[in-house]
Amino acid sequence: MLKRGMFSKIFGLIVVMSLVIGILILVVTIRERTKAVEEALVQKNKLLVKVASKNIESGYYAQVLPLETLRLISASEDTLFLWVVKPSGEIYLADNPQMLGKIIDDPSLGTERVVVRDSVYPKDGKKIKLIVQPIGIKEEGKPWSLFLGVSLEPVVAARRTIIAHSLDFLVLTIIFIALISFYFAKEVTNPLKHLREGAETIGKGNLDYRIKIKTGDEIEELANAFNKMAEDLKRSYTALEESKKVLEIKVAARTKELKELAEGLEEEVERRTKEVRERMEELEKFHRLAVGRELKMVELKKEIKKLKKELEKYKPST
Amino acid sequence: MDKRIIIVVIVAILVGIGIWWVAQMPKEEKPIEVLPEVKPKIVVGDVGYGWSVKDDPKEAVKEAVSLMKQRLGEKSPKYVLCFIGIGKGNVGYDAEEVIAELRNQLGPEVRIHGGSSSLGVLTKEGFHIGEVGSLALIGVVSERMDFGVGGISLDELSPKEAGKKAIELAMENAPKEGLPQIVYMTASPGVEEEILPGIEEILGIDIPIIGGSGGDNDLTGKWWGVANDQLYKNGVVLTAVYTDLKIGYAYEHSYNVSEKKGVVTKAKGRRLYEIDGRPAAEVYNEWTGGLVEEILKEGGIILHEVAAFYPLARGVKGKGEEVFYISVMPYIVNEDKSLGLFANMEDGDEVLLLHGTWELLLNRAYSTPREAMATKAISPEKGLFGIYTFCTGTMFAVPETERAKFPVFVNNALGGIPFVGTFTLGEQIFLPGAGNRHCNLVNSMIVFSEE
Repeated sequence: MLKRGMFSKIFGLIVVMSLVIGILILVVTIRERTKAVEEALVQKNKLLVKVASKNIESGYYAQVLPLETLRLISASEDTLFLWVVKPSGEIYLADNPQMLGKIIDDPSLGTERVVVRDSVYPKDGKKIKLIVQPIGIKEEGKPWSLFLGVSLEPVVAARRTIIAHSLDFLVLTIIFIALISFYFAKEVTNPLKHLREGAETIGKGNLDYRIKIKTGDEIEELANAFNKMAEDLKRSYTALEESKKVLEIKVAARTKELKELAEGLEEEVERRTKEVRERMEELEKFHRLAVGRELKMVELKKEIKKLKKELEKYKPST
Repeated sequence: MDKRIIIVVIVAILVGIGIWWVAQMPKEEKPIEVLPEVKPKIVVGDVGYGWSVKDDPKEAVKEAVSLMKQRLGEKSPKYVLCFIGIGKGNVGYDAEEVIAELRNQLGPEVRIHGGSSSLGVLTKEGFHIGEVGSLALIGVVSERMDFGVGGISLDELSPKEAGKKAIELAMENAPKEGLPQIVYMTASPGVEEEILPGIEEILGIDIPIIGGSGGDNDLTGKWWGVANDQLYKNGVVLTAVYTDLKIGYAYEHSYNVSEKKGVVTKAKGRRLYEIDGRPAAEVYNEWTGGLVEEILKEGGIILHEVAAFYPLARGVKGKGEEVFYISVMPYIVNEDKSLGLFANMEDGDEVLLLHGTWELLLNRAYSTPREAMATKAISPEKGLFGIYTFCTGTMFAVPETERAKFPVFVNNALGGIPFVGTFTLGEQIFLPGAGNRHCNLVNSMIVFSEE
């Protein structure tokens, strides 16, 4: 039993890789598109404050400040606040009457160039984009400034929309890729499965079985190779069978011969064995006799020796 | 390829993306710091001002007078000009209580001139609008100024006689002899054109009579004036000012003059019947491109935005060929297609259509005081105080969220000179060579200054 089939490996790998790549692309896309939305928002408002500052400048000297223009800009849903600020920090004009006359402290006061930076809305602490545009009205050598607080809500809303749309697209894409990879994996593994089944069938001895795979690729070649192998095996087995039969006949004949020989040999062996047995018996008898005699001889020798010793005693010393 | 290598690569990519993402995050910036409000230093001088929006009139008077006295170094003023706002609730203070408490706080010697103001009052510190009412007053102790205050009811005398009597009383009230340099006027709306000639009968046409008719929020008669201890719901109050100080003065309607003009062929008082022999309302409708078309047949009140942004102007001849155009506000189309106005027109008057926006009307809160300063080359360091008058109709034409800019602009023009301001239902202006006239829709500034 396979631990994990090729189908799941191929299918799983494609889907997982697609998911990973898709998420990477999603993240980058969301970031870049959100950035583009933010940039467009900033550019739009930069243009607005530039125009407004020109109007304020000419209006100031003509003693007709463009209050309607400022009001319209303030009414924009992007705009959180709009202040005309003197270099001292005094808010000269503001969309919110409560801010009139208040003093602010900000590093961009009196700037000679447009400043765009991230900041925090003093009222509620929310993150905003702050655009500070110098106005051509100067006090003690420093220009007045137009402070525009731009809400990032449109960017957040756009990001949500982008994420939602991108996720929808990603899901659809993953589903599509899953379907394609399913089909592809099946296309790859089905022939292999047939191949395996065919190999098993052939392996079980059904050498007439032929694997039918027409994929036009290496798998088909492999199947053809298996089929050829089966064909060759069949031929070999057929030849082997014949040889086996011949061998069996020969073996049977020889076996009979040998049997007969063996039977003759058995008789001979039996006869000889009998003879040997008889001889053995005779030998044993003789042996017993011999042994008896030997024992007697030994005893006689001992007696002789003993007698010699006795005789020795009686020999005179010289 | 070894599985582990693949996993490591994927994890590395994800970590890299994460680091990149975090690096892209906007850095937290220091918020814009709004510094705590610092109450203006009390500068002691010859002029002190005070204001209040307390609901109780007595408390309001106490508070305003207390502030004024602090600025006078606790000296008692010789003259107090007081404007009383009708308030958001269109109720206003009890006038009798205000007068009584003023007298109580100021003592018996101080000359008091008071007038009602639509909605609220102005000082350099803001546009003060209370729920019930508001109060702004300015007191003067300058050795170089003297004042006489006189008032008269219009119930018993004709307007002309009343005007004459009022100036006589004012001049009698002054510690100085002779004619004043300037007169400040508060009258009940309706007959100002007849009051002025009465005053001029005494003063001549070369002494400015500046001021505004008492204001309320809805033309329902809540206006009033105060001359010393006397309340006038239908009267005229005058302050005669005697001084050798510089007096800067300017008025402005600030409307654009259109090419639409004609001649009054029939008018009586504040009713304009015909222009160029045709019904005045029809001509007005044509001039404005059909803005009163809906009320032309059966008559009706002209929408405030139309009346305030498309007023008429009346030509007033000055010396020689000089012509002054004074603005007049039409407020009603009558059934006979005549126009009801807030100022008089006469047969033979040149009449034109003016056009303006709230922007123009608000901006003049800077340009008019600036002009007043310029007429006598007054510098902020030498200025003593100012009196600012602004037409109620034009004030209401300015969006509510923009009205807080009135005192900002005036203050910027005056450079910090203290002032009090009132919103009036008609204004009196001085036309050199022509005399004094009543008109609508203007704002005016008087500034007193040392040399």
